[in-house]
Amino acid sequence: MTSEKTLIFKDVTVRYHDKSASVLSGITMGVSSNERVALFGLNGSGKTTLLLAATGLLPFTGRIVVDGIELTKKTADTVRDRIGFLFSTPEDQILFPRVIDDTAFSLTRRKIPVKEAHARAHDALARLGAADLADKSPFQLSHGQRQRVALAGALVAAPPLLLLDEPSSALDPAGKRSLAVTLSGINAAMLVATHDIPFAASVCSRYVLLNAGKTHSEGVDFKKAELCLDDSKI
Amino acid sequence: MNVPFDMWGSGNGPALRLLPQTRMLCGTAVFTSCMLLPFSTSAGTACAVGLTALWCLLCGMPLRRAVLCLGIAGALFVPILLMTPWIQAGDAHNSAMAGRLAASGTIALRASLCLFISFATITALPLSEAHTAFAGLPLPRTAAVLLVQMLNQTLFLIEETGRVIRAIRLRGAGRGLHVRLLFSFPVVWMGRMLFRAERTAMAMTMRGYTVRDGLPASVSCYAGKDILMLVTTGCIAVGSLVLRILS
Ligand SMILES: Nc1ncnc2c1ncn2[C@@H]1O[C@H](COP(=O)(O)OP(=O)(O)O)[C@@H](O)[C@H]1O
Ligand SMILES: [Mg+2]
Repeated sequence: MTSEKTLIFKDVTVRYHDKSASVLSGITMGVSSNERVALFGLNGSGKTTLLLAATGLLPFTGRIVVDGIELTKKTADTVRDRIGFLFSTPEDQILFPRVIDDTAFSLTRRKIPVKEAHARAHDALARLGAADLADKSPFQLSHGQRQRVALAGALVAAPPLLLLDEPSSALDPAGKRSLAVTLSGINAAMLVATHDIPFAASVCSRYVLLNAGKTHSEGVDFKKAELCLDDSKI
Repeated sequence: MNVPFDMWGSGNGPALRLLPQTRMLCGTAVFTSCMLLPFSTSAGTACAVGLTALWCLLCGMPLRRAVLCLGIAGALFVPILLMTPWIQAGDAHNSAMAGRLAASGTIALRASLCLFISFATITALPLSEAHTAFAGLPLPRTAAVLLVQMLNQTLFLIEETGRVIRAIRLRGAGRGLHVRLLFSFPVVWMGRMLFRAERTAMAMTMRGYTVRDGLPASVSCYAGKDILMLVTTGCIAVGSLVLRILS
């Protein structure tokens, strides 16, 4: 594990609207390059908010640094180019009526020739076992297939940081296993928000546990995290 | 799966070898012709029926869809026929009842044919090609991008609406369901739609989506057969207009 960090949160406080109460407060954490970290927490503890904050879409105080770039209004676009994001509902992020166009979008947007972009998009889909979906419409796909399409779109430009929001929530056991294998084979720092502890343990080497918008605990012992989450007191 | 989504592109006729935008434009031209052809003469009526049948064949509209279309047309337009006695006939020379029957029959027939043409066009247009079709239309880029996104988001919203209804039904099972559904649906639905709109806007920002990049980079050029079809259906539409003016 290298010591350089791909994602740094330093004393970060996030609120959805300027005057509302803070949803996250005093978060300090980091993800090293190529490290995979699980983000645990009960519903409403702030996992999604934390992931969104890292893309500069929510007002925050404190410091957020992505791939060595300090997140500000000016750098937000550059920062987003370094992030692959997976929403918990994949249809929120599928923007094109044909799978291959959606997957290739991050590349065509950067003026990579269409042929090459489509070839790379095909590769990305194939890696996720979704090569046969390339010419389909997202409306013809199941939730699991849509998720693979959305993930392919996030991976295609090989971003150094992946933020995944509940990637295993709607998958069957076989789907979870294959997703875990795929994620483990990707060279990128990852922050995986989930409450699926066995899944997280098979993908991540470490966890951070949020409770009511604050860091509750961190560690490498996933059994302990399970106890914490089951414990109704946190 | 979902019936309305399955219908798109379910045809397998020769029209599918044309560019998607050609299919869309030809469908529009056939539809327009059918609206314009004068039904006062039997020749005009026969033309409209023949044109519709030809278009359905070209699109390779599956029999199952045709039957569905017939059912919908029946449900929608038979009531018009039943209203015949109350319809004002324009033609004073005909005996009153015959004139009325002709008037209501014309409305019902024209509407049914237009329904068939629309359905056939949909069966010839897979959803995955809809954006290519819009991108290839002679429209300003911004308008095309908007149309693509409207289609995309509308379809997701339809799907989501189905989910909301199912969820409310499941949870409010039993008697009194419909009253409860009536009250809770708009609230739940609005909430979901707003949430989804917010998330999609975030996804667009995150993925760097702008009007400039909103369409696929490559749009195929019209081939000979596309031009032939466009000219043919265009001429039919113009011909229908002429017949209309003459009649
Ligand atoms: N758009 C929003 N506006 C205001 N508050 C929100 C919004 N989204 C989430 N919240 C609040 O932020 C808190 C954390 O939510 P979230 O990050 O979605 O939790 P998690 O993903 O861990 O389930 C919740 O209390 C929720 O009510
Ligand atoms: Mg969440």
